[in-house]
Amino acid sequence: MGKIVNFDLLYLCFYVISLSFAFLSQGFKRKILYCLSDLSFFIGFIIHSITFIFKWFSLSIIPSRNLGELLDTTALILVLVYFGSKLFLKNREIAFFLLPFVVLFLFGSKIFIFKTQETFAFYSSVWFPIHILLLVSGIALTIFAFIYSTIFIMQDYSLRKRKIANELMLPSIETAGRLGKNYLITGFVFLTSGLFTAIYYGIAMKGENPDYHPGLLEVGTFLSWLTLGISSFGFIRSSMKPKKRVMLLMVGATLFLLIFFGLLWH
Amino acid sequence: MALSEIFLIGLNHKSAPLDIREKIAFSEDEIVPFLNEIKREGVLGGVLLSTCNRVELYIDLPSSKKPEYFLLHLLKKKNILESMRKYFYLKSGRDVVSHIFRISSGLDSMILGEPQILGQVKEAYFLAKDSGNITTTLNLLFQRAMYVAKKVRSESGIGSEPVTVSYAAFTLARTIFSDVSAKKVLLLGAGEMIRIVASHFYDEGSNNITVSNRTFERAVEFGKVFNANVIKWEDFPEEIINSDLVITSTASPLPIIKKSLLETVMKIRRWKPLLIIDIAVPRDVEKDAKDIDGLYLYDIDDLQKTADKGLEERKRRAQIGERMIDEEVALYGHFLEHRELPKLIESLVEEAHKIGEEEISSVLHKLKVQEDEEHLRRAVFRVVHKLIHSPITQLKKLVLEEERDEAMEIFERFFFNEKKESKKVEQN
Repeated sequence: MGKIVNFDLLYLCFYVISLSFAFLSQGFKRKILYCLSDLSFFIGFIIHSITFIFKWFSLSIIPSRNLGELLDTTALILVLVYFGSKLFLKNREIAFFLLPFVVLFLFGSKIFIFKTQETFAFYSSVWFPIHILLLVSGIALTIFAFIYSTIFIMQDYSLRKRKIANELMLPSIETAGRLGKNYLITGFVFLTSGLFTAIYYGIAMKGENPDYHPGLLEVGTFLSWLTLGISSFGFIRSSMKPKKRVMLLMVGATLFLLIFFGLLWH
Repeated sequence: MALSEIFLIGLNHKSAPLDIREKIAFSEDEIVPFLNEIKREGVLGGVLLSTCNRVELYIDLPSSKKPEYFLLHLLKKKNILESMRKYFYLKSGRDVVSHIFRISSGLDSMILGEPQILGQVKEAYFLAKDSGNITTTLNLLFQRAMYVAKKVRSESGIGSEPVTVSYAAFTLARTIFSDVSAKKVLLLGAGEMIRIVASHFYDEGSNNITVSNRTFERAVEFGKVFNANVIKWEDFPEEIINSDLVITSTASPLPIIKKSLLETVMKIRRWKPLLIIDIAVPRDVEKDAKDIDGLYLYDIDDLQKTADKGLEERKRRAQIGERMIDEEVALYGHFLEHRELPKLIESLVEEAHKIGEEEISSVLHKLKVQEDEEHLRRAVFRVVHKLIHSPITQLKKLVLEEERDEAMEIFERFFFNEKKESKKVEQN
């Protein structure tokens, strides 16, 4: 177990190094620093993945039994989406925005001690990892939509301020808008599927866990999903002005994440 | 040693006026025959760079040839009076290295940091290389220049800021659209200014261009330049709905595009991004329209301010580039030094042992016992070795102490001058 803790700190270290390079790469010698940032990011990702798989095998349960583990899994899926989308997109600037989320989630999972619930019977169900992976992927994709929306607002702001040169080499407004929308829709589909699988296996396994009583967590999750759903609907509605749409999405995504993780914290 | 063999003869926008540059310019077809011609005259190899702002001839010359001769040859070739040589500069050694590194990086260009020059340097290099006019030294120099240029451009970021109105407009379009070349462009007007700005978009691959002008015939004529569709003047408001980028520059004293029109257009477009570049004075678009969501409206002052700011920024970044080039020139010199030093030492060792061998041969017949020959050879070898050991050690030490040029020159004079002199006498 001691070794696992060391590995936990090791990949966190690589992510922090990567974040430092990502901040520095916005200035002089951008390319070299960016490469160093991406390299550290990738090494961190590899160690993170191996540690995650090792934990999964040793626990026989996907490591998401408490908020700390869920945050760690979310951080891993975020990085996975980043490297996965690299195959199709030129997204080097995204690391700059993504790494703070990754580091924040990991710090959150390492700093605070979370109580692990007793192993319920439904943990062993195949639906549990499906539910977790769908849910976490949905969260990760929503965070990507949030990041692209932020870029959209930043680009719009600098254009209105007559700062024509794209100093941060960010994606164009059109790209940011399109990718934000795509990530949002995909993320919402994943989230919804994640919630439905939870309902499905919850009902199916009910008999095996008599202590289980749906309560605040379930209602809150539904509310957070509804909040995101409303803002996503507003975003996709093309009759709405672009800046308002993006602002709505950002507010919706922030509320969703706050409610969701707040509930788990509670 | 090797540096002093490379010379540069040239002129540029700073040293010569346009009419002289025009006369001296080479077309692509003329370059290789000229390089072959000077090769026959004794040049070991050459690269000729001819652009609208400069004509430069890089030559690798043996010490028996003077670069001035080739300057006169160049003037004669282009039927230019000898008095015009005042417009030319002649550089050698380290200055050539520094110069080619600077120009490849765009630090010596009329538009500071422009990227086209690197492509032109590459073209000139490959032209010389493919026609067999390049030497190892020139090859090394140009390869290094291209590497340095890429490094300077990427690390100083000198080319990232727009410095002309048309480039500022294009940069703006790139910030808004993912693929500018695929966007629909509408040109309102058919004047010189709009032609300059539209050319930039056309050169970058925009091929979906529509033109509208009050005088339809002029629009038709203008449209041919960009292979554009032409529409009637009264149809342009409707055309804006389908366009992504509008460039306008008419002579109208009042705005031709009202805010109310653009509000309607944007609503129909469902606020899909629209970029309007208004380079007319007075303006063609009502200035309040810039507040409309999804619409990005820029006038000539916005673009000019960006271009001015970009130039200032490029000047600042050029200083970083200059420092990088100084470092690279020193590194390149160091590289050549270490390429030359072993050769020089090897020559000395070879020469010293040759002398020893000659002396052994001259006394061999006087030896009575055969065995003594081996002893004699060993003794001479040791003497020669001891004699040259100290100067070689000193030379290596001086090179490390950065007194390389002087040390190598003294070393060469000390050991090889007599031989060179005797060769000259033989030749004469």
